[in-house]
Amino acid sequence: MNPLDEELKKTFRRLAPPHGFEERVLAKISAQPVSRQGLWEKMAAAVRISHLRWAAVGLMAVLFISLGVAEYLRQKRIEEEGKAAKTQVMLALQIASSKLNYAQRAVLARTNYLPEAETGKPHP
Amino acid sequence: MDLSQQTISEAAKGDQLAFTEIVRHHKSMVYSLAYHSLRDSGQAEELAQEVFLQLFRNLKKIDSPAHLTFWLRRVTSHRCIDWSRRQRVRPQVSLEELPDPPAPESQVDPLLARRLRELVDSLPEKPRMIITLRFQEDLQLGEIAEILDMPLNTVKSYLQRSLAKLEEKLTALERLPV
Repeated sequence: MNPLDEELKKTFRRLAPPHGFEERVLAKISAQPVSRQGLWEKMAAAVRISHLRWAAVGLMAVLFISLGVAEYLRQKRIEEEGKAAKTQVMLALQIASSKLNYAQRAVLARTNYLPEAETGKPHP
Repeated sequence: MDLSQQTISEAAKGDQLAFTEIVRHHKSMVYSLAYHSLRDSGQAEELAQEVFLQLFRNLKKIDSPAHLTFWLRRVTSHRCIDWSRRQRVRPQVSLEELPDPPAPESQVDPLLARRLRELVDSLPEKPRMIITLRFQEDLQLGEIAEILDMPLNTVKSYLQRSLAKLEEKLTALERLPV
């Protein structure tokens, strides 16, 4: 072995800590607060402690989501019904309009008020 | 004698005697790593106590005596490097104030030891920790690399350069027979 290695081994040999080391370590451990939990530990503890609470939270979440979906479907149905009603009204108006036009032409034809171009006869 | 798996399991369950046994078994390793890195007995003890406190909180993660030794070396080494970086610790006690080793295997030349310590102290934190792990714990380079989370080649290079530097300076001082 290299003489330097030997000297280093002697120099860096293990040393005993000062007397009473174990007692001081144990005293230090005893002096620690009982619950010195970090954020992560607190969260983990919360999960561990209240499985039922988490189940309740999950149930509430499912309930809220169901209510939201139901409300959304109801709104969508009302919207579709409105659109259908609007289409029917527009159709009815178109029919009424064409009938009114027909009636107007018939009346004007009888009273000879129709223009020549429409009746084919000269205007009196 | 090595610690048993049972001692670790009992300590993890809260058995104070078992934990005390673990501390007693490993205190010299942890304290010495801290002392050789920080060069201050008070700070070394404080750091060693913190390491054991951290161990107490993480005992359930330790799955074997070998894992325990690795875990302690790793945590102590990283704490020493962080501590040295934060405080830029310099020697605060003289050689005479050093605690006596439990049973020295061979005689140490105090002047040479002091000179060696001074030279190692002048190294940056990581090379210093590599030297400590290599010569205090007699670890292989692969083990040191794993403990310090460093590539093996970096550890090898740090060690070779540090030893060359130490040898060069010591040879110049004619402290070592060449």
